[in-house]
Amino acid sequence: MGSTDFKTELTALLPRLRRFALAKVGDPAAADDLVQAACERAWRARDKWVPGTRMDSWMFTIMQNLHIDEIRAASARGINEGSEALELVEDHQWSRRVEAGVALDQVVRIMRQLPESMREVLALVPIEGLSYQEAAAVLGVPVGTVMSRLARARAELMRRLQPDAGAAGWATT
Amino acid sequence: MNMQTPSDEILMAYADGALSGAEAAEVRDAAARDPAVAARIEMFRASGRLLRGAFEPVLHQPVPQNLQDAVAALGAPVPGRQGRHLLAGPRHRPRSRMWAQALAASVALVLALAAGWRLGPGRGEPAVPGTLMAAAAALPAPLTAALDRLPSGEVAQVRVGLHTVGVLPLASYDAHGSVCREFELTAAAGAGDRSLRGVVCRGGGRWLLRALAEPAAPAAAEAGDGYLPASGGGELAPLLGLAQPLSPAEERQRLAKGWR
Repeated sequence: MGSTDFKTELTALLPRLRRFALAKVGDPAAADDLVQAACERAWRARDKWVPGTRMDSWMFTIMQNLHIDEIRAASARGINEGSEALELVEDHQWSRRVEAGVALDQVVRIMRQLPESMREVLALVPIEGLSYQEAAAVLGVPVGTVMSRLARARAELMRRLQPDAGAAGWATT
Repeated sequence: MNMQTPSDEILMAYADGALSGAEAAEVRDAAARDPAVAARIEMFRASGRLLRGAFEPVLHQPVPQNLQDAVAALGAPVPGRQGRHLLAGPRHRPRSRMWAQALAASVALVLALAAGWRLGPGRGEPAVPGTLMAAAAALPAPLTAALDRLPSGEVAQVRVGLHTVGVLPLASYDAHGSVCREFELTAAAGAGDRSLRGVVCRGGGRWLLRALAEPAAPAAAEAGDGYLPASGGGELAPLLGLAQPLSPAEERQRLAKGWR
């Protein structure tokens, strides 16, 4: 695959990468920064990309590793996630855009309360449509781990979205 | 009948259509026997629908221009190369005051890390002091806030990560209707005489870093390798093709209008 084709395919994937990143990171500006950093890393590693295989999973893996690197780099500097150095510029444009979809805003807010390990599986499986096996490959964990995290994440999300879910029978085990 | 209730993982896999025929049949039986199991399955189905539906609009949002630009620019020559040549020349005299090379380690590195990009002229090249680096990168919020509110010539101390830096906008420029600003960053007292020169431009409603110049170390300048510091007023902006500084009145107007 030539560089042009690679870039074309990557560009076409941007909306999905942004969606994945938003679900995973929970912050629009940080999500776009993650997408950009991942595209840069993917470009440097474009020789390793096998044409014909799924670029989405490949990019998700890069974003996964990149985010882990960032968190590690931040903790090595003694900066915790959410500290000033990692505060990213607020994207007012985005805020206006999501006003059109209150549901997205609400879901993102609730997902932000969940641990990243839960957000990741939510981002990969129900949102991006990967199978449990594909998600396991991206995350580098066993399929069983993906399934248990995902089941817990979905139950927790629904519980927080619907405080009275118990009445509807959703909270019963 | 004393059948065990299927686990959440199994119920979820059933809701996702990921079970084989025999396994699925078992879950169907369990759901028929126990309304709580049926409700649990419905909860998993609902969560899938809800997540897909909620995030669907993101696919239809326009990709921010700066992100599109960054991807389009992949593989393009690093602007820093050009900057090096532009910086080299007889009209740039070495500055007499000491430029600490460790500056990069304090201010620049923190900024670079915070903004998510690497410091340096380009892949595989040694970082040469005095090079320009450019990236359509987002800056830390305290810095952009200072650039928002300060008129040129006024300095403010802001915290960027663990460091306090002085931000001094030097001049504002019109860039095809948008605004760019050249500024100086100075590490706080005690960190020595360290500073950085940068240019930000307005894009997508925020300040994006277009260039950051790390002044050359005295050793490099003395070695006569041509990589001399960007010094003097408004040196960086012209290198980026920004010719016309805004007058103080024009700048005040732009500032009042949120730099639109």
